[in-house]
Amino acid sequence: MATESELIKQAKQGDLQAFECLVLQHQRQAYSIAYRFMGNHEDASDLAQEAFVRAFQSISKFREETSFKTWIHHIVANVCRDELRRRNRHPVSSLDEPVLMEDNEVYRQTADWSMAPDRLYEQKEIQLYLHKLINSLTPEFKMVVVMRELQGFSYEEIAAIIGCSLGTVKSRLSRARQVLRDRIAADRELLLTEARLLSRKGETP
Amino acid sequence: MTCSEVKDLLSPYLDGELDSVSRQAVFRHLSLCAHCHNELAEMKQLVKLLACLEEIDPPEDFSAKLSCRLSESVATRQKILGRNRFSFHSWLPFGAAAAIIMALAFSLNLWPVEQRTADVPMVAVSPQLVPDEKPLAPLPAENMVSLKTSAEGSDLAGQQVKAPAEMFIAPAPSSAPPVAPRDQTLQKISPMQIRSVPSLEIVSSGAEPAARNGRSAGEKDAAAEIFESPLVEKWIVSLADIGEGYLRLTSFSKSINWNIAALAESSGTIVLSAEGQMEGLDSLLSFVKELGKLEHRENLLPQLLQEQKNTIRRVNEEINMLLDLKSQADNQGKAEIEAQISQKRNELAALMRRDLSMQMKTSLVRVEVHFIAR
Repeated sequence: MATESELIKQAKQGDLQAFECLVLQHQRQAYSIAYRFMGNHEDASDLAQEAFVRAFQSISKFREETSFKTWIHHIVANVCRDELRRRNRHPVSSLDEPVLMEDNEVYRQTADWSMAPDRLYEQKEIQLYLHKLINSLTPEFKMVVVMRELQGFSYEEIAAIIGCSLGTVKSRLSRARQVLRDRIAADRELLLTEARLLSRKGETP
Repeated sequence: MTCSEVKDLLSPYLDGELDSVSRQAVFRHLSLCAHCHNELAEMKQLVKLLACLEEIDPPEDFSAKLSCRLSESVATRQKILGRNRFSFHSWLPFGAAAAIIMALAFSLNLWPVEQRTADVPMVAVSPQLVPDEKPLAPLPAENMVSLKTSAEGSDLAGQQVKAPAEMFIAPAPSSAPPVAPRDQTLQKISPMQIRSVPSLEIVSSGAEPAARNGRSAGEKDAAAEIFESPLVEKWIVSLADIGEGYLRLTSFSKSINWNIAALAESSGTIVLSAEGQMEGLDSLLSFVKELGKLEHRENLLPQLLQEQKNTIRRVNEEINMLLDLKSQADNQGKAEIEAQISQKRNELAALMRRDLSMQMKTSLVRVEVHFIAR
């Protein structure tokens, strides 16, 4: 089995098969990141594929100063950034997306949220909860959160991808984290109240 | 440091992104303030929680679809590189021929300039005839015939009406909706429907308009096609890698339902033609600005709208003139003139529809993009 650097070398010479081997090693991660950026499978699939196509087109420019994984991460972030910006200019409304109400965001669908607190900490529920939590953010906040918390980019890298100052990254990430924390606190409160109501109902049949 | 100041620094503090002075100040504050200490703990918990998000499997068809797209991109790239190498030279003789024909047309006065401007500039520009140094030169053939038509039309007043073959002008199909549909397959047919320039080719060959529009057959062949919608803008963009720029522009324009075709290429430049609904123009422009530096931008729309107005006025006058003639003609002449009037009315209706759709930004328009390597 060829090593990654051998595959990269072959791919640089236009070997599509070698590149597809590289894709296989990284597609799960790339797809997951695109899914967190975009919030749904269809877009994630399309954009992760787009990222790999772009990667292949510009692999001759990959200097191997970073790992291939980091390089792909950058491309995925760039592709998703473009798409999120494009949508910001031409907004389309979907069920998964939050409906904006001035500064606060609320979900269109809240039915899924009515889960008992003990169940919240079940693995599957918490995955869904966190995904929706990230997806509820505005595109600006979502971008910094995904890049920092899931992709592990430094502030400098995020600033370069978004094309803003370091200070903007700092404040944007800070605000995004505050929003997320407040939202979790509010949900927890809601869940606890619901749980109390449920248990009371159970006590007095 | 106050609590609210510290609150905004907790996030970079957590990531180790503060300078030493701020870091120490936050540290001191945290050791004294239970509230802020608690906030930091909550934020740490949040970061930990988000790190729990697991990777997920891509859908089953992911690899197959990606494989397809990769092969497609290889094919496109080869097409571009291949053309770069060969076709610029193979186009040269055609370009020279076009130049000679144009020079001849001018010197023989076959091409009256004042009338030419009154005509709708919706001329099919063939890439073979127009190499990149003259990407906008109108192709005489179709244009000249329609000029002939209008010239003879004005002679009608003094003559017995005997309609020459050229007078029978193909009307734009009246079924064309005033607003171009958003559906992609329908949209591809619409350039022919909206097109208002009389196309004699259609009449003489008897071919259906849709049959000429081969573009719907395969998007991959778009590069070989010529767009027929009116040219509204010209952009000159300098960028580092024009091949990559072309590919990225192609995939972006797909997402906003625009089509791209390469008109001419030589080392260091590509001339592209982009066509789509006018409302997508702004996003295309901003994407192009992200790709490279917009060196030059030319807006032809005002001129185009003016020309369109002139054409509408001219067709109106022609109809009035024909109406005048009709009152003087004998029975057979009347029938012939009536047929012409109805053709002209169809033409006018198509023009008005296009004018309306332009104003509503639903019209198909064309942009010429010159990519120059830095």
